[in-house]
Amino acid sequence: MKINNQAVNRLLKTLAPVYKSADTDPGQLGFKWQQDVMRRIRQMEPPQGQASFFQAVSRAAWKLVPVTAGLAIVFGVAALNFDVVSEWQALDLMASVTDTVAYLDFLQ
Amino acid sequence: MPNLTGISELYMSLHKPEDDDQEIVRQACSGDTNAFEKLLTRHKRHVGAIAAAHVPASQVEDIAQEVCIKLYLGLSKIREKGSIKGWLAAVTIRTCYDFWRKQYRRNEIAESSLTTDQRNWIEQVISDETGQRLAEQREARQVLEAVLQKFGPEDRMVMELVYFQGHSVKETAGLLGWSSANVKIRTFRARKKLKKILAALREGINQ
Repeated sequence: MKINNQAVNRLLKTLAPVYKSADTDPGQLGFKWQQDVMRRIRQMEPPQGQASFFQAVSRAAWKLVPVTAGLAIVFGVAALNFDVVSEWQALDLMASVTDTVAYLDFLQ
Repeated sequence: MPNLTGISELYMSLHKPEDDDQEIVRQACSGDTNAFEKLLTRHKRHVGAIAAAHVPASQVEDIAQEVCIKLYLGLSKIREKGSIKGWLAAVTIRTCYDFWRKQYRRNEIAESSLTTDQRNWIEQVISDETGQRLAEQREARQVLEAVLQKFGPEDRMVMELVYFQGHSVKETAGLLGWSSANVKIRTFRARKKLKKILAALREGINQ
């Protein structure tokens, strides 16, 4: 059976106040709900690009801490094993110094 | 004796809540979560009321929470655009739309079949009887739920916003983030589908 536009309009017109009269009171968004939301918000980082300059720098610094620590260890180990007098300096000295004892002292 | 109404109106005109919002948004943008909580306290009812109109009551808290997180992450956009209420309305509507899309994707929409009373109620409405009296009947709400369940998420949102809440095509397009042409097409399709549903119901009654 065919339904005309008038019938559709009548149904929509009748249902519209029913829809509007539905309970839309958000009563359940109480204190506990707000606390839950704020807990989640506080766990998040501040909105991107909006943090102050100081906050941005401190956040970047904290991110660089592991890298900096790693580099410090590598350089520390390298410095301990590094021969301060390079071989070419030693050869240069040997060529210029005639005193063998002084040269051996220098190497030690 | 000063006219207190006049003074309060003058105060309200000079001191709009939107101005306060801008200041609070500015503070919240710099990472002040207490300022954001003020914003939340001020607008949670607005968000909750919109969500309650579009999703089941059991989902309102989750939808409102999602909107608040989107608000927090989108504070910079609001700071640029200005109006927080309009932004929140659009984001809440879109979050409700996403909720229905997920529900339909998971096939979690209960297939409803109308009772004889509900079918008779529809028959009375489309047979030119006084709608006001019929709208107050218990069947009205049940029919509304059953009809909405038969629509897909897009048609459902369009039906609710255009036909039941009375938004214009342009407003609906703005709220859903669609083009006006898309809203018009959806509205047309939703009406066509409603016609089909009604025809099917009538067939059922007459058989």
